[in-house]
Amino acid sequence: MSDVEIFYHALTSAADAVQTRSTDVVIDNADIQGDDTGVGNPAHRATLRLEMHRRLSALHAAVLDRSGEASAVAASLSDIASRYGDLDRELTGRSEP
Amino acid sequence: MTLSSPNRGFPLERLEGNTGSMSWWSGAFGRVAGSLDELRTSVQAVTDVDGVGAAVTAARADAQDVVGALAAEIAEAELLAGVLQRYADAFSTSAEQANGLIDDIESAHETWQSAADEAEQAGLLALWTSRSGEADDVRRANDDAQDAVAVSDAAARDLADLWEQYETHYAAWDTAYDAALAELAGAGSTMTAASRSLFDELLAADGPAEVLALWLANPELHEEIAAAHPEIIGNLDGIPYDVRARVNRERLEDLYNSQPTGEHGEQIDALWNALTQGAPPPDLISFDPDGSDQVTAALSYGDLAAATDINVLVPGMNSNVTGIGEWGDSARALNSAGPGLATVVWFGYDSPNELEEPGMDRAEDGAAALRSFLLGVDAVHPDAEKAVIAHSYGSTTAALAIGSQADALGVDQFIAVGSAGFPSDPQVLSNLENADGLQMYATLSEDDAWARIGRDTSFGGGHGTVPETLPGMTEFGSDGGYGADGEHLTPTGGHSAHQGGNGPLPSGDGDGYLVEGSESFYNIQQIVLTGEPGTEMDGEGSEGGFWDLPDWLDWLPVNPYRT
Repeated sequence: MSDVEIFYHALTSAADAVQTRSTDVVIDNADIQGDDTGVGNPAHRATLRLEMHRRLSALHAAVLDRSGEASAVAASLSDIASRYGDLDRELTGRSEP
Repeated sequence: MTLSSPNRGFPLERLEGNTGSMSWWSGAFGRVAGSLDELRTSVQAVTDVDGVGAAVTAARADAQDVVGALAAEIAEAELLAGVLQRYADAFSTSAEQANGLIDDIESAHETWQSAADEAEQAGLLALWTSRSGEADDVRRANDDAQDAVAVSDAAARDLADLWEQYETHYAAWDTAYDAALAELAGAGSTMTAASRSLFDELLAADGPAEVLALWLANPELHEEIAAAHPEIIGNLDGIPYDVRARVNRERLEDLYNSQPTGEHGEQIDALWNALTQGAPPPDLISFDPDGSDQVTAALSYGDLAAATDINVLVPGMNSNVTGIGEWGDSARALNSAGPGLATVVWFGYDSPNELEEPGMDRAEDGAAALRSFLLGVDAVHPDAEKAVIAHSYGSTTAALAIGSQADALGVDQFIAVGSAGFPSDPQVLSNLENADGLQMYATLSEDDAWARIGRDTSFGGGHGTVPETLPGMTEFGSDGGYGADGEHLTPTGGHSAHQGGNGPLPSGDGDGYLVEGSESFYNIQQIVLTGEPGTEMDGEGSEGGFWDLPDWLDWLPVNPYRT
């Protein structure tokens, strides 16, 4: 396997791994939405319920941002690999180096 | 009447919480932390990819940034998972144990009261017999009295044992609650030890009065704590309102400048416009853009610090801060009725939509927040008269809050307009009807369809109590009339507080309950000023309404009429 092939596989496998993990994060993150964490208003106190909701809402939004950023990294790697792959396809007719 | 523990004064009330839900959420946070950690590992691997080209170099740099940023979210997810699970575990061993004792304590209390009454009677009988009875009768009466006292003492000991257990469990829950809050708020804190200590005490305070005392006793720490935790200080009941207004305005301005979009953005825009337009602008004395599904806030109009009368307006179904324009108009109009008036518009809860309105969940969450807010007003301004003016489901929420305590939280006047019904909890109703110093007022326009529907469609009759007929309630008119100076007062043509009537159902002519110039609003002004409505029910100028029909829909579970 040539250095270029090794590089190509490193790029695509890294991109696949990041994208897979990013998708997993999005799926798990979908669970942390809502307004009832079970804390309720014991003794008429609402502070913990509200603080928990505030924190989980902020976490949910931040996790979406991070997964988007990670997907963008994966896309960058895929772009690099696909550019090489396009050239190789034009030159050799093969889909991989 | 709610019992209180003898030594520490803990109320004998069920502590709300669901450990199953808490554990599930803790697990969800844990899963997010785990998947974020795996994502971080995979992105970290990108930083080791070979290559010197511009694109791959940029990708490695981006990956490094993501790896760095992910650390904060992983830590936050782990923190939430840990805090919630620790609280759930503590709740299970403390609050649930306390809850499990409530029936036993109530039963033991009844047994002890009965035994104590019997002992007293037996003692009186023995005393009476000793003066006039035969020796055998005296001895028998004394024996009976001693036996009765022994039974009473045993019942008292049983009750005391139960109370002791209850106080132990309740105190353990209280500690766990405070610890959970402190752990959440203290994560990553860079405050000095003194500020951190005071901050923890503020979070653990048993009410706004204690918060105020702690705050006033430590002026040198105010700036540091407010700067470190504006989201908490700006909403912590008991903190003086000028402090809250300052930190909330700064937070709102930052958020406004970030140009948020969607419904959230519209709500932020509405608040910013309210604070920057009109003269004088209101103060933002509560502001929580993330604690609930909708942005919650409270805006005060007039000089709150100098006010002799403080009014709190509580909106109802489908309300949110985008309605601050017309609610602010009502606040200003109310203040103009006389000297010394200040009015707060309280958008402090997730108001229900049409599907949620039949339930009590939104009212229960809202009541907890409103209760704390009203206790805060009473703590910071103890000498001012307080009136709560609540519309629609807001009156359901307010009734639950004000009726949560036998002293009505220091509220002097509770005015319900177009009420969707009061809660049916007998303890709440008893507190409302018997609270010293509390006067209650209500009006229901004869053209108001939705309030009647709300009362009749609440789940299990949860808020099916008709306020207008409660003992001690003063009903006032909203169907049109004339003021003291002969000015015409418009009827309320539907359910709305301002515009919209009964939409989409047919409406009558007129203005909303809280529009200046309506009979309803005129009466509210007069109640705040004099304690009495300004017009007579069904008096001159009353126009009646579509729903003013005798025996209308007798099959309804609740007669939604005042008669």
